[in-house]
Amino acid sequence: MTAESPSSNSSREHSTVIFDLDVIPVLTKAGCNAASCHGAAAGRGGFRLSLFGGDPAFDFDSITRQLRGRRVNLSNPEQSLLLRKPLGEMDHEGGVRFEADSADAEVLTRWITHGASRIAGPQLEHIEIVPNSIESETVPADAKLQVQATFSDGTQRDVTSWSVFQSDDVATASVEENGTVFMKRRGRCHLVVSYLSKLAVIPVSVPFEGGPAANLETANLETGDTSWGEGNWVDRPINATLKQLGIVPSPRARSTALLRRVSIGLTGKLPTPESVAAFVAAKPELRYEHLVDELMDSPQFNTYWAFHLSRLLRVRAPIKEPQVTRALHQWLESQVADDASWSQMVREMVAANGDTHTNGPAVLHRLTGDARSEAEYVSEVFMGVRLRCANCHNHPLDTWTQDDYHGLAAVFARVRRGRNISTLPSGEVSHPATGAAAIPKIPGNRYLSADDDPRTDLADWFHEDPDQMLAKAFVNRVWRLMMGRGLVEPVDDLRASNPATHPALLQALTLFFIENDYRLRPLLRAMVMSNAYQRGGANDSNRFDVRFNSHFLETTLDPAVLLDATTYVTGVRETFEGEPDIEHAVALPNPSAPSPALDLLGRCPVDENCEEGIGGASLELPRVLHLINGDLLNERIAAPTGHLHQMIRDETSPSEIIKQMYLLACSRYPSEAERAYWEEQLGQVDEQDIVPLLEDFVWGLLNSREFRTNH
Amino acid sequence: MKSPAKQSCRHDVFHRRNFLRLGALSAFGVSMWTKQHLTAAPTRIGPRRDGEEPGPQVNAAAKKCILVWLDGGPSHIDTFDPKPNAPIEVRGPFASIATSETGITVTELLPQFAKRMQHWAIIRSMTSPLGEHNLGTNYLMTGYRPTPAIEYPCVGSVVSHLRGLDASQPARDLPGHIAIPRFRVGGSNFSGNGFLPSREQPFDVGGDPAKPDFRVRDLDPHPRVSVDRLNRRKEFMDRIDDFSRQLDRRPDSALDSPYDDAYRLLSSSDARSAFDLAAEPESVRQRYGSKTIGQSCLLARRLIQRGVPFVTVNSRGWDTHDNAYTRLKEGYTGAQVPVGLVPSLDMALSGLVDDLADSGLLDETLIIVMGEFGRTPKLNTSGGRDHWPRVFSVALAGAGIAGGQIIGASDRTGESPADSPVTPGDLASTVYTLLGFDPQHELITSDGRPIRLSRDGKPIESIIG
Repeated sequence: MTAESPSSNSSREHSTVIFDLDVIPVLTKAGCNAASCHGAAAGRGGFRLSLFGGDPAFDFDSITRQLRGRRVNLSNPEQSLLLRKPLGEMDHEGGVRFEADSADAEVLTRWITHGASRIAGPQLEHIEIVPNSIESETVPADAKLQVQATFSDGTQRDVTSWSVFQSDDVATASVEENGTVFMKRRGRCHLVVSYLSKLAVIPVSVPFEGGPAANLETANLETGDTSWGEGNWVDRPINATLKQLGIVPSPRARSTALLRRVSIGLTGKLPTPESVAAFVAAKPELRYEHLVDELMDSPQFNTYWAFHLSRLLRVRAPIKEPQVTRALHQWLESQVADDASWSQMVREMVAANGDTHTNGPAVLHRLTGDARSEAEYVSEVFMGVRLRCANCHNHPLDTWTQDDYHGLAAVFARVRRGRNISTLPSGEVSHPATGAAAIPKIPGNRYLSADDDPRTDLADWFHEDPDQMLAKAFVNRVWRLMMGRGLVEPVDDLRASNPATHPALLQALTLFFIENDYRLRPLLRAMVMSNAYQRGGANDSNRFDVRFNSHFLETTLDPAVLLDATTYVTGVRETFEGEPDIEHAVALPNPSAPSPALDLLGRCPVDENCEEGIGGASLELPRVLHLINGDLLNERIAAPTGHLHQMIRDETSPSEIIKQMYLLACSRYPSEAERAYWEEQLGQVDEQDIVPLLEDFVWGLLNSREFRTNH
Repeated sequence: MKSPAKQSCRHDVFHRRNFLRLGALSAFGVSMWTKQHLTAAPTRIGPRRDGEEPGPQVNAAAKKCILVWLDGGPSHIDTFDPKPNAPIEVRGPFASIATSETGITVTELLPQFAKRMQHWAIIRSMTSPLGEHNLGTNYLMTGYRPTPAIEYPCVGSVVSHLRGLDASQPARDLPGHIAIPRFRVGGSNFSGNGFLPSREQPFDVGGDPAKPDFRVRDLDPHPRVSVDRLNRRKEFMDRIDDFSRQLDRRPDSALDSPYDDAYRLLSSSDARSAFDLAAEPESVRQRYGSKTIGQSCLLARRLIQRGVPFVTVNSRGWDTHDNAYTRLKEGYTGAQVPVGLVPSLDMALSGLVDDLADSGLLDETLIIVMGEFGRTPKLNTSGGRDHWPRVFSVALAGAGIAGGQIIGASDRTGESPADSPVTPGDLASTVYTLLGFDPQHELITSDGRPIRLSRDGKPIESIIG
């Protein structure tokens, strides 16, 4: 390893080595405190360090006091194990970590020579990376990053040599340990730079071929649609990124395709033949906007978004009391109908007590079994972060500490679980590091008094959170539901080192949501009115892009929506065990209620924890075999009570049946070419084969991409 | 970006459809399935993706692979790496026994395996930093440490993909990677195909082969639908797709329609009969033991015999945090004949090795036995062992590997590798090499990014020979 002569400034102005600021970064950079080495919960070879130096006091103790102090030899620093092991002078499973003449060795030697003490030093305030973004017109290309740290005493220094660099996509750009960046192919990726507990993310962009010259105006001209301008505020950051990367967006989607897309997106239902006719006949200027209004006012909107919310809340616990999921569902549906504030809803749920057979919000506390799992649940579902790792260790790069984890668990320690939720006078979870009861804490924020019910404080805090995690996590999930991919993926893993595809957009959506009192409808309206949402599918020039919204992503319909659409087209209703009155899968109070049909269509298994909602169900071979040979479609298509056979009995002409079926399944009229094709097919068969032919046509429709995807 | 392959792919799709149509109309006057199922002329396996090549084929002995996946992480000490001289809390409740190879011992629960040690190579110095099921499974299955930026495909799906691109391979009607009973590994929804097309997702057989009524769901035709109509339905669906593609001027991206795969499978009665375990003589079925893992291995043998390049037998229940004695040995408390996890594995593996050796298939088939990690050297207070990725064991047989060898070693208490540590990347490299693929060969993701089969792994010298 070649260190970039850090000696002049690594020693700060004074030559004293400060353990927390100078020694820890050496151990981090050399990989000593990584999870695979001494940073493991059990340490390695009897030597344990805190993960990535998250706990300097622990590390100091481990290095200077454990093993009877043999790790440092004050009288003969070169004989210290802390040096001999990483230099390879002694048998070391981790091998040679640095050379004797390296700056790393020099810092450690000097620290031991000066007495191996832990004197107080200034705190690290922040780090700055130069440059803070990298762009290149060509590949291959290289660049160099420099890391400047600022400390609480006002001093600054270059800590490049002690910083850790990582690329989230080494095929696009890789980064050496001295901060040299190699750009290898066109596209965008991010470099994560960390020094001690601070972290920065540097975007790297290399425009695609055709370069920045390819622009949005050209794309808009192609459509001939004059109402198709630069879009709304949602589009600004997207357009900027597309322009920067030289990706040409697709023109606006066909009007009836858009009708279908937005009807599914907002209500989970296909448009009726009547609304297709009305939409086609309406004046183009405002019909889309009017349609959006109409859909948002419909009762189906409330049902569908209550369905999304209950899945977001992971209402999948096998609760044997159906009253429980019904109470929650009813409450969710009425909240959506009132366009209630998400933050208010969360507040109510987190603080709720009472009978879970009647009080919907209290059901939240029955979705998990104990305080620790409720803490993990709350962090993932409401804050979009994975606090789980912090159960066992501090994780400075992800901000979360063991105190945060067990503190949040302590918030729920006094919840009395069972049919009636109440607050117990006492209750605790123990902190594994101290063995004592953990103090209730808002993660990353402040400790709470144990006198009042800390749940109320937590609920209030979501509103004041400077990082706006509640809003950010929610808008990201809604974006995923509407657009097919979250701005941050996975959606429960928001952290500084996992940047959004359009960071400015995520920020803008979050602020907009908060300004509009955390209400769903304004948020959805902003999304569906954007050009990004209204674009057509991929074309040859942008099909490689799945992240930047240059076209609308085609996704498989959600299993529940697909089942309902199949019901709708065939006219044969589905029955759900234990829910005799419910006809639609999206209206089930318990999204994991038993349903072989939903399982066949790819619903996430009840005992698995998949983040559901969209595109999850790819069309796997077993599913296709069932669509071909199984009952799901075959029985419905042939049912005497179904639409097809009813129309046949009513002596509707075959051509009219075909038209009606196109309207039902594809939300459009068959084209000239399609009509001609079907006439030709009809003309080729005998009278008695007309019915089987129509059945086969309906099967073809129900298996077509146009039907089974949202596009 | 290059796209010359597109035209030919499209042509391919029409071609295949014609085969089905012709097959139904000319070869069969009878239109009901009652006679014999659909037939179709053999077709080339799936179309190629733009510019993709199967990669340089080393002339390797192994053509096929059976992965016996011990889901949950088997204890290395209680299987392939016993520690008879360690203190009782490490040694555990089981003794060790000699094998057919002098100097090599295994747990007493593997007596049949021990007699066939000459076929097996045991790696005792596997090491990984990932002690969580999902992450560990990902790493072991793909050879890559998991990252949020890209989903890597498992080795089985890569092998299936590359074999499918290889024009010198005989045409195949069965899926290229089949999982028995199903590919639910690592406790989470790990798709298996990663960035490869979804057709490379392992095909789940679904049912339990040990059950008397075992059959693969939906392979048999619906009573109402004849051969002619089945073909017509596919024709109609394809036409509808063509029309709507024209309407929205979408590029032809239906390169890997799962319907093509399904129709190919349904068209071949020979392929479908591969799943018919009842066709095996009772004596053969008994060789493998009556448990799920045994009958799954037997089914795996039938599938590779019919040209399936990769089969994953997924054995669940190895996450033995408590009652290791009952779970690993007895099966249920007080069992007269032990039917726990390890004795059942013992039967399955010995049946498989004997059967493959007898039929001359062993040299061209690689068998891998592994899980996502090992288990703690010390027994816990519940009489079980917890997750331990730092050192664990993997067993390999067939594929011309020199048997009767031990690779690497763990230390005295089975805590760390003592010698020649092997990473999951090294293992993946070894497997690719044995199956005739250069680990440096690059796969292309859908956004055109080249990814090597294995980035950091080095094949194990004494295994690849």
